[in-house]
Amino acid sequence: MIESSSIGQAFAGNRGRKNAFGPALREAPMMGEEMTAVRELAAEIHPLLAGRVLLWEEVERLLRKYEKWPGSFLMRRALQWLSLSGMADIRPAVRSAGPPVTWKCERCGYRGPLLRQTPCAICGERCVVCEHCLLLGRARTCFPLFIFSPPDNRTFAGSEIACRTAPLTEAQAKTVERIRANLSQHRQVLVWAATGSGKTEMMMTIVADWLNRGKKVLWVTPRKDVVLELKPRLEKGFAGRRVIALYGGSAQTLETGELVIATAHQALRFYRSFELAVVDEVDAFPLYGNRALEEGIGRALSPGAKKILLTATPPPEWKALGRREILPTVLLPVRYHGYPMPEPALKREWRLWQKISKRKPIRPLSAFLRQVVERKGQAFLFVPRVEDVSRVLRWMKCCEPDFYREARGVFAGDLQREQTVRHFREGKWRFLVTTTILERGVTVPAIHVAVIGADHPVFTAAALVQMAGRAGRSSSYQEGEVWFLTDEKTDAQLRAKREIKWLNDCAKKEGFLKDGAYNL
Amino acid sequence: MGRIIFEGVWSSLFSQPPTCEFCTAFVRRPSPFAPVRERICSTCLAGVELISGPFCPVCGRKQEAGADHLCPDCLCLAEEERIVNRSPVVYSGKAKEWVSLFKYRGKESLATPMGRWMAEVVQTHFAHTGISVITFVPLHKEKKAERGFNQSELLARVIGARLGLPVLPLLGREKDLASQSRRNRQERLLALKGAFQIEGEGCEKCIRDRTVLIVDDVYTTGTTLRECAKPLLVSGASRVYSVTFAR
Repeated sequence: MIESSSIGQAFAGNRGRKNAFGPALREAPMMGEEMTAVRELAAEIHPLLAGRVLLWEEVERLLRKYEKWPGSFLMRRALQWLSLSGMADIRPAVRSAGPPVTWKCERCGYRGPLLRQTPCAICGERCVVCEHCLLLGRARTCFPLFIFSPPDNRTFAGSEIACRTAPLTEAQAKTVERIRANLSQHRQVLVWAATGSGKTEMMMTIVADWLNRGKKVLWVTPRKDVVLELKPRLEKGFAGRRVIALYGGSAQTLETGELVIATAHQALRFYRSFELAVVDEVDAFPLYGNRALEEGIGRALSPGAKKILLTATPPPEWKALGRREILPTVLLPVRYHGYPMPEPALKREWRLWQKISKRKPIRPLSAFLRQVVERKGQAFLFVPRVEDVSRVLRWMKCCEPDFYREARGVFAGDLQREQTVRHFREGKWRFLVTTTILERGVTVPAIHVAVIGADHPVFTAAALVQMAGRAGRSSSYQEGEVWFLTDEKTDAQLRAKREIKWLNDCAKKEGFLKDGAYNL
Repeated sequence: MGRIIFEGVWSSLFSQPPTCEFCTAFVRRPSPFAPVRERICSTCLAGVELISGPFCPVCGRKQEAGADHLCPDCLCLAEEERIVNRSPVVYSGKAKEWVSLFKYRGKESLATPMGRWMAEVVQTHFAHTGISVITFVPLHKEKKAERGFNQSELLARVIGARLGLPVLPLLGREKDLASQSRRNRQERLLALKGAFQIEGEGCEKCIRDRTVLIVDDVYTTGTTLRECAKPLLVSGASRVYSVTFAR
């Protein structure tokens, strides 16, 4: 693709030889006018590319978007100029010089079996392709990856704009103060805030501090749905700022702004651009335990930047780090409305799944459904596997035909997923049978929760806490109940129950708790 | 170091269940001889339309129950032009997604399950036809250099390895740079006339009096496959069959 061009030579030189840019310099030297033209071009395009990590085709797409594409010949020369003057680094997109254990995708930082060596008709050799970040655009050994240094002056000029959020409660204000104090001393802070405690509002207050100082902020969430939900909220809160939403299929993928909301993968396209990162739902897929994505977020931050890790259910090893004061932790155990979280009730039912398959009556489940109707609520019925959605619906059709008419099912690959969820929010359906896809980030006011088959291994303690946290989020409806329907008690269920209880106790001790419907 | 060894031992004792061949969902461990449709997750399987039951005896298109004649497209063709084709799935839903992921996004690892699925189809439908050589629809050189691989070739290699048959690049492509998928029916028929020819000199020997199987990714109108078959038949191939992933 780029052989026998100045950038190709620079790239080849960079790949193998000691004298990295030797061959590139040996090419017929650029003289007078051409040299000035290339230098001017390089100076013109650098501000657009600064602080990005891009493949050749992405560079082309970005410059075409801003109508600055000078043609590929001039562009190669300009990129070479940037590289030689230290404003850009050229690397093979996948590092595969040594034995396979040392292979690494330079774009996403992935090492492992998804790096596959295949015969390549582009370079005519066998080279390595990264299937981990394939959906961002193909990265191969024979493709160059350009890392553009960030601009010297990273702050942006701008006036102070007050952040418009709902006023913080006393507990939230206290927590914000503690986060600020911790951030002034430490590089990162873990914020452990109960489900429905108003994390977004608190974070917006802190993000406003950074933006008012002229510093760019990156807000990372694990899922696209959350990006789409956050964008209007943040745009409203920070009216007058450039808020950019990045996710797969977003129209803004190559733009950059003062506040960038991105999925973890999209953050891989940045290099030392941000002064603060808010990492939402750190314990969720795909972020948790994925070193490649974690490194990617690290790379997007400038050296002295701060990081806020945000979660309602930190994994046990992080709690341990917090106790040993290695990872500073700020705890907010109370919801924004001050009512406690509903504690889950364990209902044991012998041979639950056989009964569902054979459509035999299940008393606790029927009781749960009836109670939801009596209290004029809606309910999530969580099931462990995709095929269980239709099983439970079939059971309802047979045993509870009245309720079946008000029930729908939804799972990840469902084509009508968004529509069904929207209708459920609007109150068109009373019951929604769902897999864990709706475990996080969903707020429906009058909700009850039943976890059917809570002893299945996909329901970890964290997942159970999150699901229980769907209930009682609105201050006006405090009657939501959480039931775990299960064959047997498992460690995860007991731990989830204990954790919710512990958080409620903490809130009580600090005197934040109002007397609510649950304090019987 | 100790931790790495511990994790290695632990994961070999209690390994994770295998994942679906097309997505990342975990599936129940299949038996070693299980066909591909039993190796993929229920969501993926629900998303594709398998070609089983009545289909057109020539092009392999899925037909409504009770139909046992040729489909309207095949009826329009002269008898000597018809090439018998079989495919495992209908080109819709998930199958469409996979083909574009494979071809345009470049997820080359999908060639393995797709190719194995096609090999199963060859085994069921072409078992007694005596296929002795496999070839594939070629890409134009420039196109191949742009994409980096020829998707049909990757599929053919998987099928060949599975069935123990030689895979030979018999065909070359001179004409036609633009993509076939952006044309309508009439344009496709015209654009491909005489686009393929036998490549290399030693090939004639491999073709004469042999049964050849042509591999492609998608069968839409069948023009590509018929054009590919022409030079093969002219060079003396006794019969030509084709297999595609989607129909």
